[in-house]
Amino acid sequence: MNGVLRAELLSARKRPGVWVVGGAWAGLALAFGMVVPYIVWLIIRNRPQGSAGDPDKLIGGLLPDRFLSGTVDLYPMFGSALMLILGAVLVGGEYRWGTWGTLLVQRPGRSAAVLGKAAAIAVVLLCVTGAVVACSAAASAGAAALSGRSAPWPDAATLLGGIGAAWLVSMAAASVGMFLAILLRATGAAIGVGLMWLLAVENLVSGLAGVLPALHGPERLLIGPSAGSLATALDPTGKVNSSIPGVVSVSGPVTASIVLAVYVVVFLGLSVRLISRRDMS
Amino acid sequence: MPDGDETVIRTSGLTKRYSADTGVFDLDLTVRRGEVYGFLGPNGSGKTTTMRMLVGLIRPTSGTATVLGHPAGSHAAQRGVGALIESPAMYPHLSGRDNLRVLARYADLPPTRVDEVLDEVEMTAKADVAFRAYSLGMRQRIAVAAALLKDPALLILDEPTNGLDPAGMAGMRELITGLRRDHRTVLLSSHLLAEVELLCDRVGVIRRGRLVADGTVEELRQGAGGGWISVAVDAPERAAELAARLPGVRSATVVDGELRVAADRDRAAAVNRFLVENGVEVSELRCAGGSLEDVFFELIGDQGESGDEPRQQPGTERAEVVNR
Repeated sequence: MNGVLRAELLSARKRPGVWVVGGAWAGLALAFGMVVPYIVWLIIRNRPQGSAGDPDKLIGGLLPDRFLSGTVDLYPMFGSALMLILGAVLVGGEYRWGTWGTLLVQRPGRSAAVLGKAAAIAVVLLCVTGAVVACSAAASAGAAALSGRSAPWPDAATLLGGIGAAWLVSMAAASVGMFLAILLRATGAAIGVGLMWLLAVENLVSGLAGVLPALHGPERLLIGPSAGSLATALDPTGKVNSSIPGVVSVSGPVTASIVLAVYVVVFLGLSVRLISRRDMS
Repeated sequence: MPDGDETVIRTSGLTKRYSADTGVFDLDLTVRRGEVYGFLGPNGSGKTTTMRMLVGLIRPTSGTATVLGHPAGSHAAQRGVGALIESPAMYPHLSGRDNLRVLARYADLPPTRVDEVLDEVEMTAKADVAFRAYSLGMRQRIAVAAALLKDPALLILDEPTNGLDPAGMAGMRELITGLRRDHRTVLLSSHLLAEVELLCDRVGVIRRGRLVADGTVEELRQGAGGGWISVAVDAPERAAELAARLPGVRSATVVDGELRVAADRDRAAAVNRFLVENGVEVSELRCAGGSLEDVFFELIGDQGESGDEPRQQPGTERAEVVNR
């Protein structure tokens, strides 16, 4: 599978769609996680205590001790959606260009081909996650310097935990995107169905769970709420960041991690099964 | 029947049923080591489906297929097979070279192999251009290069000359001739029957998913009654009597006031000489029938499988007969 992984990495590295989606996510995360809140803070920082908005809370969320949870907070709704798109794009192209046959004639073993692709996606997502966290860290350092405030950086274990959490959420979403692209044999349809699930169905379930206790169980099994639970666990205050849409905390970090890992395993398994059973015509 | 070592492809009752009359049905095919086997049939007759089954992209409904002594599509079989099936499918954003690098990595081949096959298909100079910018002929060359990557013992080529200009076609013929010289086996599907006639040791004709003929071109010609020589003469009845005595002449009849001599075209000069020597005035002589094209049309009937145009009148001209 090493050869397949190297092949897929070469293909992904030279694919404009990967750079566009990955770059867009890094840019959006920077803009909505750091730049916009900082600009808002600049506007409201001189407001008297008790007026609308809390400048201290706002700038506090941008400082180094909380930048990591602030970044992971963006994953339940926005990051997972973009990573689902990335997964669908990376696999759906094979149907668009009819390249499955070309690949499989070269290399026996359909499972190896799918798992090689998944491994390449995992590497790509790790790079994207690293870039997003690095950009946020740089912006956080800038915000601290410009605002004249200081806060400690998270320790290495927390930093690795944060990167791991963001990567796991990304992998879960990308695995769903990959599976949908294989199931529907198309990129566009996979993205449409995937986004409808992540943005509409998951948020609906999450919203209704507030009034329907019967939905608490299913809510814990969703990608967004599990991602929110991980982000909340990374926050030094341990509180849900309600200023970012889609962030809820429904379980502990271990349960959330297991749920997300199950998504990866199940959807990769289904992808392998589909590719292995289907005719390639 | 050849022994196992000499048989590169063997299918037995191979069937892929899409509907009652669509697919491949009960196909028994044998391709021997070192031969170039022409696989002919109109569009939709099942050629590509058969080829896809041979490389494991499609699973048969029933029957068996072995390739290089192993089940079709198995790891062991795939190691020795290179294939170009239907149109060249590559990544448009990658260059020809990068496409081949991806495929070489898939097959665990050294990167030097990419340069070798690029050289073999004469694409080294254009190897770094994006695949999407290639002409159809260039794409076809890159796809052939991909099929050659594994230095395969068996090459499955589905219409490899599609989109090639005359020079490209000549190059492809040379390539296939070279492969035969190297004792490699080639399963070739093409609509260019003259090309198949030139290149192939044996030919199989498939119609509506069933193999309707299999043998050397000469065997198919004989099976279809061979060719004939039409002669315009002043005394057709007498000429027919005379011509029937000539060695190599199967029969001589008068059709529409013209002498029709059933014989191979290489007997034409002898027929002419014999008639003139016996006082028959010959005003016109032409060879007709007996080409692979004639045999092909006789076997597949007057129309292709998927709404192809009716056949062109069989005659002396050899031309591309399907997808006109």
